[in-house]
Amino acid sequence: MNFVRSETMDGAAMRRVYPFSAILAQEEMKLALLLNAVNPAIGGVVVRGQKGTAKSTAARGLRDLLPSLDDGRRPAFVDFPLGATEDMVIGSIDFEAAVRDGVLRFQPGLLARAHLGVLYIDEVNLLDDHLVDSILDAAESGENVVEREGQSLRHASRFILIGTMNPEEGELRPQLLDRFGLAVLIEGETDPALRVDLLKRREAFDAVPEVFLGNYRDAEADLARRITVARERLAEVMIPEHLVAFIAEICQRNHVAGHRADIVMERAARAFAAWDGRSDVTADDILKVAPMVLLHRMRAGTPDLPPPPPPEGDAPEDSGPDDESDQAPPPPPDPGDADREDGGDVPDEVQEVGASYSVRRLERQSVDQTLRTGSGRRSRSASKQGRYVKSTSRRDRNDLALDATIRAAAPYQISRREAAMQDLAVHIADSDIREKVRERRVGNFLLFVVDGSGSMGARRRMVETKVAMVLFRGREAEVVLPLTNSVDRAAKMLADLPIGGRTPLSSGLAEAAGVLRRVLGKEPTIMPLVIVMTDGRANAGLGDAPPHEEALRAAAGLRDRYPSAQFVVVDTEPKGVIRLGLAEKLSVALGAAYFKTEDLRAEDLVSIAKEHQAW
Amino acid sequence: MVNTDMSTPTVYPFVAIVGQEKLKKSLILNVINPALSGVLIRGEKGTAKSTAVRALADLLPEIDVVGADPFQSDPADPKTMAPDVSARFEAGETLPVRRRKVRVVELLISATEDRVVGTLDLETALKEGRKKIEPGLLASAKLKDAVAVAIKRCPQVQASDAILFSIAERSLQLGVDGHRSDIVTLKAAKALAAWGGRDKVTPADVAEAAVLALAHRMRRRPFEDILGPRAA
Repeated sequence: MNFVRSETMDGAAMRRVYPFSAILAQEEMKLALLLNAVNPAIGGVVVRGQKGTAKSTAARGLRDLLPSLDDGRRPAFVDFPLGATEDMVIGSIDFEAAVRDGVLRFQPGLLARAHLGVLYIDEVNLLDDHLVDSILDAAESGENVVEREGQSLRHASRFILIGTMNPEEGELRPQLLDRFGLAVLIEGETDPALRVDLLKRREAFDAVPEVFLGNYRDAEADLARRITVARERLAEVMIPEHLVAFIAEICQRNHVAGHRADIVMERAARAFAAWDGRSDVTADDILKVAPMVLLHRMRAGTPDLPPPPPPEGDAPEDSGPDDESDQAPPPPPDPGDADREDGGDVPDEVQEVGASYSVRRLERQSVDQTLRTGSGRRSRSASKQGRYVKSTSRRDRNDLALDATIRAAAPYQISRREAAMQDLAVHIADSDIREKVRERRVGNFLLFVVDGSGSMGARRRMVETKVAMVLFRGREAEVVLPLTNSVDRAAKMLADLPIGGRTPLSSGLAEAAGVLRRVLGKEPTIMPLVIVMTDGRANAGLGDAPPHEEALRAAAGLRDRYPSAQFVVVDTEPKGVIRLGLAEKLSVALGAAYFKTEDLRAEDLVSIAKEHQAW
Repeated sequence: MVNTDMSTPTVYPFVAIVGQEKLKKSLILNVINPALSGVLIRGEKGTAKSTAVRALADLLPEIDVVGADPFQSDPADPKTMAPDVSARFEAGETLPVRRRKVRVVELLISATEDRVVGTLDLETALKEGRKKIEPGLLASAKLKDAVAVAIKRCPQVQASDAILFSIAERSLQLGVDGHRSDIVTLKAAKALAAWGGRDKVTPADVAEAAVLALAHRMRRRPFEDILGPRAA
């Protein structure tokens, strides 16, 4: 009945697990995991990086290092299935007990099973947000609250949360990312000798696992002992007052929102001191853990770490952290990377956001109706399409949730059977009926593909929605704004885009294809609106073909490959010069609605976006 | 209409599949070393993908399983036994042993299209393959023996440090993500050496293994297929 892979059985007896101590390199990931083993309240780790870099091997290995529970059982390792339903995660009514004995009994879910163990979520960025939410709630509060079938219940659920994600497959929302304690970035090793060592170890393990495990038994036992000792020491680890201020300064300098970073950094620094066998946190401990605390909470780049403060007492009282961070404001964001060599002869300049464009109405395409909830990010679907996420006793769509209905009816089976005239297998009353609540991700994704070349002198306009932006100029295109809800950032970026250099149009379209692939991979039902702003004068290509032809072929490829996307070409060729009409050709290849800038006056691009959203 | 007698499914013989050498080789290598963890076959409809997979069953060795155990535990390996079988084993019970062929199990994602394609495949097999079935069956027995020999030899195959370095450098050169490519290339190269009757991996084994192990792990630019590889 249960397809969840969960290994509560004794250690490596059932499955031979590659030992943690035999994992080469990846020091930061190993440290992040060990610190969480010392203090699970750090709030878990999200491991960002390529596939095939021992992420899950390390997570499984970590479980084997954890001390046994009070009752002698080994801690659980729960490998979270991506297709899990809410019932599976938080628990539900024990159906069998309800039918057989007529009692309401709680059937624990994954959060109960993971208690005191490891909860491993591979590709956490592909998991539905509401599930990530429940998991993070439990991870943070240490308990799981269940409201089900009229039952309310809470149980302890403390676990080490390990998530992995490959950012190329889509991002996790920042507010969810923030709730993971630590983050590490890992890549494959580039030193051939190290790769060969790694290969030899793996082959040795696969050849005769028992012998390999025997060779690492002592190392494993040492690590396990060190975790136990560090856990015991943790309570007595002190952090001096001036270092608390140091933590605050680091967080402030790196413009981290909220206080979670401060709290996590203190916990991680204390865990590190305990791991190192000391009872006092030093500035070095803090600097050691700071990058892992900041990685997923900063806007970009590398953390800005101040020098360690002088020992307590030596510091003059007036040089507070505020002064220092005021002296060194971070450089303003420079998304266009103006320093890049771009082969163009036009100097970069920043264009003002211009007056509004006017926009003709887009022809509507028939799309099934959806009910929208407040956020607009994702909609509960009124049709019978979409993923069944949970059930409701509200009835309005005749979309029966059989499992939930039977569960609701289960406790009353014995009494109803006695009272009933007929002999039915299951007695279902009207009040038991549950309907499916389905979720579909819809619409409102806008992808701007913006020509940043010197020939592009257009005014640009921002829209209110979820956006991403690809800029092409010079030799290449880049995603200057990954998928975000932050309109502010998008608006600012559009206003500050530097322009200049050549027009690598096909490169821009290729980059757009990459963004579409990632977004649609995560949200297959989303309907993207791709707005290409260019004069179409492609003069830098990817291959050997003439750039303009290449761009048209790329455009046709983009259209064919992403049939759910709508395209709009905004021709930015200035009025008054001889028109080449290249952007119009591009719009034909894309199957796009075509606008000239002078058509865009009374209304503006916002209308296009709003039209799109209203579908 | 095709008349298919469900009681005796006719499987097109593996050795009778013409061409598709890479496909056949990868399937055989996976039989020799299941730790290669599978083959992803990408191709047009009607290119003998499922035919080859179904035919593979003929080449698979026979295995011992505990009789009547739905999990088909290995009677010789207590570590992998299902819990109740393990308990019986611990209690000293002599477990009933059943010898059977390894099966090819098909997971149907959405039945309809696959079913139709499957029927067409069968039709092709019946129309064009009938004449080849007789000699095919004879050749199958030989191939099966060769696979069995390679399975035995595979664990003994050695790879020198130079070979290991060549594997690592190839992955680095191609910019493949992570380390799985190294691990799989080595396993495939060893299986190839075993298949070739050798105890040592040669550079040619690595080259051939790399083609099979790296193709789907390489990064592709979105329009590589449209604009040509230089655009990558």
